Amino acid sequence: MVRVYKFFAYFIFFIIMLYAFFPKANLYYQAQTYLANYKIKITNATLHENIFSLNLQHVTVAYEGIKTAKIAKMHIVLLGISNSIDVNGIILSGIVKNFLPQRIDKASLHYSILHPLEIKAELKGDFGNAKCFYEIGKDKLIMQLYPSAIMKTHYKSSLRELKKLKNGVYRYETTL
Amino acid sequence: MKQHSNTKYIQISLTLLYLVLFAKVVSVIALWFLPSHSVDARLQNSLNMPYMLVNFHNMLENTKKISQTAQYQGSDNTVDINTLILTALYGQGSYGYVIVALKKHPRKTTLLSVGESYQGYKLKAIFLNYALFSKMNRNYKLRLNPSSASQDLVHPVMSQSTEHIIQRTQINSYVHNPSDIWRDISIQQVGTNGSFKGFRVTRIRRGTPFALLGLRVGDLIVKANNIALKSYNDVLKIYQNLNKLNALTLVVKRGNTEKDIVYEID
Repeated sequence: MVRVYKFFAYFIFFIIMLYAFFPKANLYYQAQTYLANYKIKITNATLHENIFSLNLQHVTVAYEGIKTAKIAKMHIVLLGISNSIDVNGIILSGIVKNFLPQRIDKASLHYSILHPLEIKAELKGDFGNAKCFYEIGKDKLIMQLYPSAIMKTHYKSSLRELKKLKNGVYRYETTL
Repeated sequence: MKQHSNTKYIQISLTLLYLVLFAKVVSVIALWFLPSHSVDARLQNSLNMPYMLVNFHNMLENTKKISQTAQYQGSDNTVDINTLILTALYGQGSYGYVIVALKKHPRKTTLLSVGESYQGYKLKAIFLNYALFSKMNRNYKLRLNPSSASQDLVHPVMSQSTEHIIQRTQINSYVHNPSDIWRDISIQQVGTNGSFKGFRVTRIRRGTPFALLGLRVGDLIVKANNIALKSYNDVLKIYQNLNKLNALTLVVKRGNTEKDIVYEID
């Protein structure tokens, strides 16, 4: 039994060392290449590698060559067991300003091995608060929106696209 | 007993050291396989060439004049290079053509191939943003003048085309208030991503500028400024540059015929 504990202790130590030494910036470049296959381009980022995380600043996101958003800061932690991406200061392109407020203050994506078939995201911005769930096996995206006063007054047409629930929450569901 | 304990600690330390080394080796191997540079994302809006509408009718007429002018190449009856403007160029080196005009008549454009002459200047070569002319064993550069090119928007001669003049203020009003577009006109995507056909006009509000611009309900818009509309993103690309355009040409399918609708933005 002691040997088993010893093995796990060494294994965890090895994994921690692997995370610490792993070239995170290069892994980010690999992710960029992967996303480029889906016509998503992440550019202009200033990278800063930490021991267990990667920080990006001044990121531009483009979809099909169209500048879609500018991001002030991104903090990426990929530990395998628990992975998170925290995004701060998102300014969406002017093309969405008639459908949504352009500013998103914070977006957090989280994936944990405890819920292997679900990616969670929480967003907070001028539009209000939103909780998103992506079901990996079913390719299903569910969003629950708690709209702000701005959203309710200026973006009624966008809200009409969502299903209104009883408690003032709006729900959007789609299969990708 | 103490010696035994020390040996144990040394053994653990060595194992940990080996693990650190092994983790480092794995990381270096990973580094070998992972890309070392960022994806060079050249955003498409910086690559799109500006759309220009050129009067081919004028060009054909002027080409006849060129052959006459070429006969007088040796005479002194030539103009200074400063009196010419280069409105467009196509090709590179000794292949391609340019569109030139006299500054005093910027709308009377002339199409020149390499080797042809205009006003005594012989076109020698074409470069990225200028054309090289020669006259009397001297070389002259004529730089591309996009501002004058944009003025060279004249009416095309096409049997299946109609043209309309739109005020820029009207365009700007729609650019700043896109919701007005959807209030005045509705378009619907036709076809799937695999076989995309274009956008069908499903509604045009009466009395709005759209009602006066030649579009009809049922028209299928297949191209805008020679860009095939294959997705909403293609439409957005046009929309994003709308306030910079001097002309917009829509290719629409109406019944079995294809029709060009040209909008000159004044």
